[in-house]
Formats: sequence, C-alpha cells, structure tokens
Amino acid sequence: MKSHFTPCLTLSVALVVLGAFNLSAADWGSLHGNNRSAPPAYHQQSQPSRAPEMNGAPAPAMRPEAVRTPESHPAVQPQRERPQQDVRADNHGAARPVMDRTPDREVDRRRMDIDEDRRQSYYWSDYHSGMRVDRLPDGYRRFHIHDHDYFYFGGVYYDSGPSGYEVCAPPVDADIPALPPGAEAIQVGDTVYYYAAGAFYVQQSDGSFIVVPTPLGVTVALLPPDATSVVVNGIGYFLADGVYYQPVMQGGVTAYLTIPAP
Amino acid sequence: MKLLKFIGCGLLVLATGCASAQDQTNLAPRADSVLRAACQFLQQTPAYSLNAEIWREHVDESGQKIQFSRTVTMDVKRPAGLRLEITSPNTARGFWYDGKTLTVLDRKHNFYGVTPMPATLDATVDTAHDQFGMDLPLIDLTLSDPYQNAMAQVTGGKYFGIAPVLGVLCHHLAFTQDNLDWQVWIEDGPQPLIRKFVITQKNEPGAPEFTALIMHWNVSDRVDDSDFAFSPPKGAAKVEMQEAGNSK
Repeated sequence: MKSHFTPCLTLSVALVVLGAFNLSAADWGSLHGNNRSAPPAYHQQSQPSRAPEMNGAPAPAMRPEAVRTPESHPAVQPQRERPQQDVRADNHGAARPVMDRTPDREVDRRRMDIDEDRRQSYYWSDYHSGMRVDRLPDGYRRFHIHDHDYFYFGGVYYDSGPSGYEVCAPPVDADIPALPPGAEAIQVGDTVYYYAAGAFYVQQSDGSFIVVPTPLGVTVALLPPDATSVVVNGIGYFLADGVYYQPVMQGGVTAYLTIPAP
Repeated sequence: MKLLKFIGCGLLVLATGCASAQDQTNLAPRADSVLRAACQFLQQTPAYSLNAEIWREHVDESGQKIQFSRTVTMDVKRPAGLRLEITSPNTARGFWYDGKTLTVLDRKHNFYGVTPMPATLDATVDTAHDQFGMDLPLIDLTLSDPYQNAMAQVTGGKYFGIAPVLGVLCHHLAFTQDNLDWQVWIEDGPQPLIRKFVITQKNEPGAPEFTALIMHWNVSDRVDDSDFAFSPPKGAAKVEMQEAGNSK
C-alpha cells in the first residue's frame, strides 16, 4: 500500500506555489492598480455564499446544514492504491505527457475577462460528455480505474464505446503526469487544487496529478464543458456531473461557486 | 554638542538636496511638463467620454505572448460618476458607479452584482481594487489627481519628441519605476489629450504589456447623471459580488 498524499505534502506544495507567486507582480491595466497591488495569492476561496436572485427578488438563504466545506468533502483519499495505468508508447503514439506545463504560472494571474478567449485555444474546450470520436488523438494515455478502461488526452477523458470512443466526465482517481492546459490553481485551506475542463486535481507526492471529487465552496472562472443551465425554486444554477455551480461576480467578472444541491 | 547637531542637520539637508537633484536628473523636464499639462487638463475637465481599444498581453506556458483585445467606452463625471463598457465578441461587461453603489453587469450571461461604494471616485477605485480585486482599464484617467497618481513611483522619465498616433501628432513620453515601465502619447495642441498608453510589466516573465489606444475623446458634451444609474436588463439575475480572496 502506497500513500500518494499527505497533509504535509499539501502544505508544502501550497507554500512552494505561494512562494513562487509572491515573487511576481500583478497584471493590471492601470498604473493605479499596479502601484497599489501587492500580488494576491491565487484564488483563495471563501465559504459558500448566497444563491443568485432574479431581478430584485431576494434569494432564499442556503440551508446551513446543507453547506459542506471542502474539508468535510474530502478531496483526497490518503493510503490509497494507485489505479493501474498503461502509458506504454505503443501504436497510439508517444507516452510522454502532452501539454506539459508548470502549474504555478497559472497561479500568477488575476481573475480577468480573458478566460473566455483563452479557453478557445485549449484542446478540451471543443469536447463535452457524450461526444463520440472514431479514434483517439495521438499521445493519448490509458487508465484502468475501478475495473474500467479510460483514455485521456489534453484534459479530455474518453470511455470506450461499441463503436469508437465517447467523451466522459473526468473519473475520480485518474492520474496524469502533467496538468491540462489552462489549469487554474485554487487554494482551500491547506489544499491546492488545480481546475481545468471541469476536473479538480491535486498534486501527488511523485509530482503527478490525480482527479479528486469536486470540492464544494470553491469558485472557478469557467464552467465545466458539460454544464447545463438549471432552475431550482426559480433560481438559476449550472449543473455538471452532479455538482451545482452558482454564478457570482468576482473581480468584476462572472465566476462560479460549487455548492451543495439546492 | 550644538555644533555637532548643526553639522548633522546640514549633512541631512545636503543629502536631501542631492536626492532631489538626482531625481531631477532622471526626469527630463520636458517629459514632466508635458505630462503635467495633460494631467492638469484632465483634472480640470469635469466630465468627459472616451472610446478606446485596449490590448492585454498574456504570456503562456511556452513563453508565447498572446494579445487579447477589448473595446472600452468610458463616461466620467467628477467627483462621483463612472460608466464603463468593456466589450469584445467573447465578453461584454458594464460598470455603473453613481456615488453610492457600483454595479457590474455581465451582458453575455445576463448576471449583475451590486455593492455599496464610497462617495468619491478616488475612494471607489481603491475599494474596487482592494476589496473586490477589480482590474479596471484606464482607471488612471478618472482619479482626481492624475499627475500625482502617475508620478507616485516614477524614478525617471524621458521625452522622445513628436510621433503620430492614429493620425494625431503626439508627444511621446516614457517613464520608468521599479515595478513597471510605461509610455504615454499626448496630443500636441491646445487640448493635451492622452491618445495612447502602454504599461510594461517588466518584472513579469515575458514582460507582458497593456496597451490602450484612445480613439475618441469628448470633453465638451454634457454627461447626464442618469447615465450612471443602472437599470437591470430584462431577465437579468442578480448575483453576489464576491470579495477578492486575499488579494490586496
């Protein structure tokens, strides 16, 4: 049995990333902002907030007992066996992780309105659950998790279907050597999450990243590609892979807070 | 003892004088005077509107620089009125400040947030930045003392003569400070209007730049107070305005 994660490691990662971050300046479109700004830590999260209200109608209070903090919604299971993975460089291309990147670069970015522009350059932005493809992209990675085969490339997870492959939600426990493009670092307590294409990752002791359950009370800049608009009790939310996202304004742009089912 | 104190004070005065002289050496008088004139003109203009295009560079993980552009329209009425629209095919955001509240509208998703603000633009700009982490482009132009704001951390400035910006002849100035380099192009004429502005984040990897081209100024027409009052579009959903995590 191998432990892939310890609280000490999480804290270490957070400190390392924070350290790297604090060396950087801010990115502001004014002298005032630059001169006033001390670099923020990456999007350190607050507690879940109120639901949106429709055009002046007061939002109902969120049920306190329903609010779960990320800490009570464990994102990482310590002392867990690593799922079997096949990264052989056979006829499906290179096993080397594609789109390798250093996570702290994304940390060093304030929440701005360029996310919608940037996402269009990412491989995963064109895919959503249920899409079918005849063949996998070169360089894909194969996982065997929970007695099931999955495939991965550039932030997109595939399941094998009767004829070809079908895009699926990121499977918890999938382990990738490098983050997908556009991964956004989010710190909650002592845990640093990386979010991309609807999946939350936590770095492991060997440097790889593992998909964890979506933490609640976390704000992300972009909705998962699968998110659909839903209305509950007259209030609009977004729903993706069983998780509700509540729109909020953060930094002057729309962001999305993960909340318990309303 | 008194003599020693006197000598000490003298040395202090001399040292201060030397520092001032050094500052003066690094700041070209022409750069300072042109910028000061532009800022005074702006400061004495009670209300104005402008249209601009802005570009913000993002340095990706490979080091490649990508420019993202937006169109900005701004209405300002001193001391407590601001309207800002930031648009592109991918995004459209509106900002309203009326001396009491700041409203942000995401036109694409039809969400808006409202939060109380101080009674002046200066204090509101500070609060929007410090408390809510907002990056408002061209906000330097709205402050009550734009010269003081611009020169607050400047360690040197140069004058590069006349250069065209969108067909308008402008004075080209360049300033440096520890965290930034910045350039400004100021119209050569009776109305010393800022026509172009570039901020270089020289300490960032890849030294990304923010660029603004102000295509149109209107300093003569009246800006009505009603312009700063927000009215929600049909179907717009009010959402919470989250404070910035620990950004400050």
